[in-house]
Amino acid sequence: MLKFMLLAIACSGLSLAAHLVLIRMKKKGLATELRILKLRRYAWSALMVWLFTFLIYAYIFFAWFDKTGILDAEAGRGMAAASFLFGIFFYLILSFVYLAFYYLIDRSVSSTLLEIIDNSPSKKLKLKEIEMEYNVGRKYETELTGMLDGGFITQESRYYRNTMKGKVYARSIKSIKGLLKLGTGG
Amino acid sequence: MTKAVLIGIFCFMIFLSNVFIFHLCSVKRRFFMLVKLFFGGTLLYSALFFTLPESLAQKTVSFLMPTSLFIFLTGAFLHFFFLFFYLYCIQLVDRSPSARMMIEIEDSGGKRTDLEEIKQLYQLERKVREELEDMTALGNLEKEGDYYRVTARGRKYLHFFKSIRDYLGLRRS
Repeated sequence: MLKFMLLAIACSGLSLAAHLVLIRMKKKGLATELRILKLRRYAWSALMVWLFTFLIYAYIFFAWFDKTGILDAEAGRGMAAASFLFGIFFYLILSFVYLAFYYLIDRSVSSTLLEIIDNSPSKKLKLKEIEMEYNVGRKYETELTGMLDGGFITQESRYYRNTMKGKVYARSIKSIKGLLKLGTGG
Repeated sequence: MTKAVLIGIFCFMIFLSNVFIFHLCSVKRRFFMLVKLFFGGTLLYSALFFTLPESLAQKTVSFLMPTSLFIFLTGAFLHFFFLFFYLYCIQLVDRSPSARMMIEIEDSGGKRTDLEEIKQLYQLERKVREELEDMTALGNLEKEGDYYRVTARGRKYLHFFKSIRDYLGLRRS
């Protein structure tokens, strides 16, 4: 069974590499393209690439499956350890999917904005009214408090400075943004 | 390995009990609770892994579906999880306000900034404007002159989010 899990991981690795090449090859998007449309384009192209490599996975799986003795291959102490770790990994990724969903529900800016507009007496609001209701000033404080609690930044009198963890995080995010041609974002 | 996957799924079900805990009780340190539940699940996983025989898992799977299909589906899940993870990372990298603030602090001359400078460098008003534009483009909002109004599609999206948020006892962000 492990070899098929490794096959799935290899197919995903291939997909990731192919998608990054596709992004890097595309010379320039439309200057007027909205960020959300760019992200949607990325999501669709990634889905297509993953579906294609899924066919590779399925083909190899069904071509090889009958020729390999699954139970024989899983005997031995090393295999038991691999199996144990794989189970923990599987539990971790299931939990990750849930936590990603939880985070989305908890922090979604768009659903908050929709709620602000929909809760207004006339069910419609101007930009300035939305900004006032959303309380941008409080949002800065919430974000900074979260970063202070997480140990990403420190406060020296009125100044904020990145900790080593914050520096690594900021640099990593910046280079990923560059790699994916995402712009400043935020 | 069938045993490992089945126990992993079982422990995840236990971890999901946080949904009911958050719904029924007022928990102040939610993240701490999630971490505790996760590690509790890992301990349970280890205990079950070393006590249950592989043959029991094989029998359970054979009862539900052919073993080959089970292995195929596990691999397929793994494959599409990586797609989800990749898209999630793109979304997080692009949208996270905290990451943007840390980049602005790092790129500033003295590697330190105060709140007023952060507000100058990263304007959340612009983020709000862009979110509204995005939702208009996606059809969740419509613009009538200077006014924004939620569309029927946007209302469905909102009700979905709001019902889960209320069930989990989360406050509006």
